Amino acid sequence: MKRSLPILLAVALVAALSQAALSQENIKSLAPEAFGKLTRPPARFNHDQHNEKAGLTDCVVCHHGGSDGKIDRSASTEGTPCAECHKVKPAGRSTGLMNAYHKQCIGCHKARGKGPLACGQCHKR
Amino acid sequence: MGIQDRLIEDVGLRRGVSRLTPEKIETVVRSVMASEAGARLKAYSETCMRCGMCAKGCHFALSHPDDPSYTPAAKVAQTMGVLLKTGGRVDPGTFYGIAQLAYTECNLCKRCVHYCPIGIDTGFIMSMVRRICHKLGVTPQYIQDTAHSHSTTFNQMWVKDDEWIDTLQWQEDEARDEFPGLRIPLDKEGAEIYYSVIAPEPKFRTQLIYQAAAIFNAAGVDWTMPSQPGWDNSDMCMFTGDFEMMGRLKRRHFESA
Amino acid sequence: MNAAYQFVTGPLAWAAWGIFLLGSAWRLVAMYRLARKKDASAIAYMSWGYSLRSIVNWLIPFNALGWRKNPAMTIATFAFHVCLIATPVFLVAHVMLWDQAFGVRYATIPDAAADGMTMLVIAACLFFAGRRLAMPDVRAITTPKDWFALAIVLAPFLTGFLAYHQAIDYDTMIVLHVVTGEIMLAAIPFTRLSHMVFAVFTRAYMGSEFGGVRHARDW
Repeated sequence: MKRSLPILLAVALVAALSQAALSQENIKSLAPEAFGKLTRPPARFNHDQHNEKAGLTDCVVCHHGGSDGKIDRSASTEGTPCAECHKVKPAGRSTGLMNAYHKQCIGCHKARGKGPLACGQCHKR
Repeated sequence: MGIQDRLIEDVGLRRGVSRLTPEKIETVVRSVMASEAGARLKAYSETCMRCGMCAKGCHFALSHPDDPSYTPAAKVAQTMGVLLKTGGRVDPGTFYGIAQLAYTECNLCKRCVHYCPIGIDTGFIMSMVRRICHKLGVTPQYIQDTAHSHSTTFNQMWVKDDEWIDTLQWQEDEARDEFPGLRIPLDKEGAEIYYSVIAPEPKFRTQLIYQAAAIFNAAGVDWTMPSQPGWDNSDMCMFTGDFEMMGRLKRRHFESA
Repeated sequence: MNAAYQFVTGPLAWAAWGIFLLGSAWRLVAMYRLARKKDASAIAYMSWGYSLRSIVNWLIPFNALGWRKNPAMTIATFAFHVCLIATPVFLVAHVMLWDQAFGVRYATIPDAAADGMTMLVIAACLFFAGRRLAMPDVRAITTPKDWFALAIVLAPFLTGFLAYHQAIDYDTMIVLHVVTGEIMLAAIPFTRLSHMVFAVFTRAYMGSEFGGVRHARDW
């Protein structure tokens, strides 16, 4: 077991890297470090598959800008971590990090009548 | 197990029930529900969770440990519960049991209130059952006799007006042998203490009045006793469900004071 | 699934809360009016001091006579009622929903604690059911209404527990959990659960009667 552990780790690392190389952030856990210790298992999210299914081509639909709790969809913000603007403990009218995820995902799923809504549908054990 | 398995013969209950029909019972139950029963009965009957904790507070239940039909909640279920569920339409035989239970298996002590977390007053519910019984003329013979005595003489033991004063003076006489200066002051205006008794004292235990007088005498207090009807502070009509007579008795007693 | 979930968390939730809040308020007002009309002699004795004295003394475990004579029931019923109210109110997932819907957020209890408290509620329900079956005193007075009340309360906790652990079928379980919770809320004003609304007043009256008329304690 002692000898096989480094090998296993190496295999895992290669697999992870190649996965990342094949498709950009394909399987993603929405678990930004800003949350610290998590209460629930992170929502797992397959970026490309989701967008294909949902027919999303425009990044700004999710990666929006804005301030003071108002969404601005004129400038795309992909590449900027959500936690950069949405703080865990929000100040003023801005949306907190948890609500940013919850409201954006669930809001869209509700509007489209498709996609998970209840807690355990994203936070799978 | 239940009240129907332990019926006893009572002349008063039997005669009362013999005059009843389910229709008569229903009419009276409905009229009492519409006029006298209020928020307390409604709240009690609705919110009792049947937890059974009251069983440990009732001496009838404690003295029948193998018969759960004696617990306060079970007694309510067998009386008011039946009347509420049927709207009062019960046959006279059933009503005999209801009356027997309400008069002889709950003495309205309200001890169960100390055992019920939400404060359901079984004694009050039983008084309401007795009220219905009284209105239907179904009351046990002996207690009804004392109630009749109340309506006639304002005391429960048929003690006549002059007998009462005679009795007091007799006891005063006797006591003066032992305590020469002793008096039993009658109707003394402005006395500090108004002393009243229950009718069995002059009737059967006259020496109790002597003894009370001896204590007042030794204590040297300013006291008096009433000479007129209204001197009996007991009220059997409250127990039979005769609330009209109960009101008259109370008024008379307070006016006498 | 989405339509069902949206229905039970949308219109049905509004209906359940509406029935619970307005229904309870209406029952209280109607009961107060009835008391004004028929129980004037009782209202005359109502006293804040004696009422609070009685309620406080009954809220202390093993303080009242009834609690002392029924120790197992005392432990079960206090654990049950505290967890029954605290768990759903302070559950992280529920506070999240308040926050998402209305921007309301407040203190929560850790999920592990909530999980334990849920198990306590379920265990207490089983204890109550066991009493109803095993104790002759209690069995004799148990009616279908009592089983109904017990089932109404057990259901949201059982389904909530299963949904939280994502056991059996999560999608069905979460909808069941929401629906059973709503049934419980809506049932409060109109079933045995109405003791939630009235118990404080029945106790207060007994406290006032024993304090003001008999000059005695009622615990």
